[in-house]
Amino acid sequence: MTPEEFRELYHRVKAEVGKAIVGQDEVVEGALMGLAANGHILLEGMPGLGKTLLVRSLSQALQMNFGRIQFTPDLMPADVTGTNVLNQGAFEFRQGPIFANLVLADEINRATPKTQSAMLEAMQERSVTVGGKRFALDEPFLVMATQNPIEQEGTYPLPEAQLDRFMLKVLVPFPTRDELAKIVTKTTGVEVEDLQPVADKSVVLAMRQTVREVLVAEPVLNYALSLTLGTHPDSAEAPNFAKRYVRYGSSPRGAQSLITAGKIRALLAGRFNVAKEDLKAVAKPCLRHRILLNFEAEADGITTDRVIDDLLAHVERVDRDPVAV
Amino acid sequence: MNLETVLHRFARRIRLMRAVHGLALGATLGGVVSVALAALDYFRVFYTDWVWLAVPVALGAILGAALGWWRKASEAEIAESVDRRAGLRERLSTAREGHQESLGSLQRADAEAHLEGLKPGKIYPWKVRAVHLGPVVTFGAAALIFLAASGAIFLTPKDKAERTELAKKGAEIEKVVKPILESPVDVVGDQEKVVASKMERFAKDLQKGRIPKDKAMQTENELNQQLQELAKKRFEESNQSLAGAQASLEKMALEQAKKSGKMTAAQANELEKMIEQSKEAGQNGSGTDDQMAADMHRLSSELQSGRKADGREMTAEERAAAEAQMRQLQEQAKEMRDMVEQMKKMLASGKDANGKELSKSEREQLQKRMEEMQKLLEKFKLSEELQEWMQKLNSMPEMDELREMMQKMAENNEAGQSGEAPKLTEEDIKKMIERLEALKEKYKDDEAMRELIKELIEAAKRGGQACKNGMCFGLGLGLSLNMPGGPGTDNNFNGTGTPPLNKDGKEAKNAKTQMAPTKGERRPEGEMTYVEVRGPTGLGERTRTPYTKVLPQYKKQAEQALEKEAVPAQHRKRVKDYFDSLQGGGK
Repeated sequence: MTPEEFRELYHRVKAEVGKAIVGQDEVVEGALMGLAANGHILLEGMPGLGKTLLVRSLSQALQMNFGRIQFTPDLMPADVTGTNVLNQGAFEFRQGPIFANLVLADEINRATPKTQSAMLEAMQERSVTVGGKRFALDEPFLVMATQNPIEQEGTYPLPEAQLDRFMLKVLVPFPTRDELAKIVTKTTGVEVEDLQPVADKSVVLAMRQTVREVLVAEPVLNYALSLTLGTHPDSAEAPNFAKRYVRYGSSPRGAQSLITAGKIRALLAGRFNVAKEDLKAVAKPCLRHRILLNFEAEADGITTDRVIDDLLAHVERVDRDPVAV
Repeated sequence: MNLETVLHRFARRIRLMRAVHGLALGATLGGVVSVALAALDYFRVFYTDWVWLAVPVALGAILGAALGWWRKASEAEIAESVDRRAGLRERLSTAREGHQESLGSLQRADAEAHLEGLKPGKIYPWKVRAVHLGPVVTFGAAALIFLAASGAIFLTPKDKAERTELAKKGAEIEKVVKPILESPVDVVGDQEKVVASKMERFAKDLQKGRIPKDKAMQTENELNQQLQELAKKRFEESNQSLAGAQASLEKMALEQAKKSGKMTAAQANELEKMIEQSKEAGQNGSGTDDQMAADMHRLSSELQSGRKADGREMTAEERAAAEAQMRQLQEQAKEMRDMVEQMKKMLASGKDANGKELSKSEREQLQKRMEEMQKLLEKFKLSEELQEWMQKLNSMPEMDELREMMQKMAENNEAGQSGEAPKLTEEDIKKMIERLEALKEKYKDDEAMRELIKELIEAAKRGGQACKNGMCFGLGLGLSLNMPGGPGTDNNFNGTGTPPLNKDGKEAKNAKTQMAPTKGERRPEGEMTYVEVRGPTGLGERTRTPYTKVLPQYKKQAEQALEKEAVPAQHRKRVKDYFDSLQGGGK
């Protein structure tokens, strides 16, 4: 697939999904980015903002299987992965909802760590092992997990190691007044949008290959590394703000995410190389869930987005024109 | 457009800009150095000039430009910089890396397309930055400090004229002092160097207008005093060496006498002792009977050499006194000889002059006294013999030459000490030393002769130093500043027209300068203070114009001032008395 085809396809998919989803450009872009980059997405937002609709719309536009799992405290790993059942004297594996191309893990933080772990292991390994037998998941495989930021009672917050498995963490904002008006009109009227498929699985896989081919210059790579290392309070490259408020910084997956997401942005911008501004644009979704703040930050009401803003400003200051004339 | 060509163009532009930046930076640093130099000049630590203020700036600019041009930027740096400045979004950096992936060629084409129409001058435009103003600011500051130091900013035409006059004097002094400072210490002397460096500073101060007239005069006077003292010291040292040379001559004569066999070892020892005693007598003065022989020897030596024991040339009075003393001693010797004859007769007859029989004790006393007198007469004789041997030394081939040198040196010292121009030029002294060195080599086996020559070399050197550094430039090269109308127009600096006198009525050359502030009323300016400076005469700086010639004019001016009541009432009588006393002196 050529970069032009990639861009065209991306916009077509986005336009098609946009028929069902009002607003939420960043969320749609994040979902598409995850698809193209082969990375899972963590969505954080209030209920009822169209997350399920988004995943369903995507699956329709791309002709992919869709699975939805509502995480609850009593959800068992087998409910996710599937289980062996006795059928006419023999055990037969019955696939769980994870066996889909697009999986919506709704309110993932409500399940017990055991179930979360099974889910996240499947996300990482892209396979499920049941009864000692390994079952590969179909490609493309994308999990979009959601979290409710306000209802923390009775939840099991995802541990840092698990969070790191998500490529992006996208915040789902509440729609604007105009968007809300459109949503209400669209969902309460007679007319129902019928989404048309614009691509299939093979196209998505081809997109992934194109993304990998995008070039990264050394200064850009260094920029990504500076951003990643800057999140570590013990690093010499960390700004004072991060040193003060961050407990743990991003893992190397953060740098990988930055570059991969940057590549997609470069392609969408019609470039064949990643620019620093691409990295700046994806820094928050790539790093916000990988930075663990300390108690002082919580006490001062500092968010990870604020830390990233400061980090970006710091790297911008440090990254000077090498030819000073 | 080809990527490499574009990068090369940008590289050239960057080098050019770095050269200009380096030039500005270097010139700024040079300007800082200039400020430091100007500050040092301001505080009189180190004197500088306009040229030396400009040199660091120029040097800094050249060095900075060269370094800027020499410091190349790498291709990666250029690409990154152009990306950043032209908003190419890292296209150039990526293309420069020459990626071989499938998108590599597309990316390169994309980068080249974006480079179309991109001019180096547009990406790196000329801009006036703070650093470019650095040289102007720093050099301006240096210039201000420099001008402020000399006060040239606020000078009136009259002040300027005065400065010009002082500067001219300063230049003259510097011209004289420079060779002294450049000469080796063993030639000019260490103390002379110290005074010369003080004079150099003084000269610089004058040239830069750092000191007012009255202060300049005072400093000049102090320096003159130092020079005179130094010169005096050097002449004294030279004279001492000449005295040492004279003693060496006597020793040589003694050696000759010993070698001839006409003098016994005991006599030689006795004579040697006498020579030493005579030296002491010359220094401490005679007075004891035991030193009679030594005195006679000393007087004999002095009269023959024409020099005192300290090497100084005898004055006519001293010669007359020595001759008189010598005659007296000779008469005493004659009487002594008569007495010895008489004593001999008395001892032979056993009776005294009145025919009275001598007792045993009287005979013994008479015998003892006669022997003492005989011994003394023997010494007289030995001294006379030594003088004869000294006369004989003149037959030695170079003795005349050496005596002539001693004579010249003594005359030179005498002239210098009496405030006259030295008789020997530097060239004369140089030649003299060279000749003495040659003779020293020739007589390297003759210890006495070597000693004599060594003393003469030392005398010549000291005399030369005094001439070169003390008297010569202090006297003849216009160190003194003639200040028309000021105190001490005749350079006596005491406001009386006469130098300060010591107890003997002689000019007190080493007297200290004294300053006395006096307050008074002056119309229309009102109250004012003037400073009366009483100082010693600068040696050799005496005016050649008789004061009687200028006195009427000055007196007239003073009378006019008195009539106009320009002189405070309490000082009018003083002024009148002063001119009256001068008038008397003139008569």
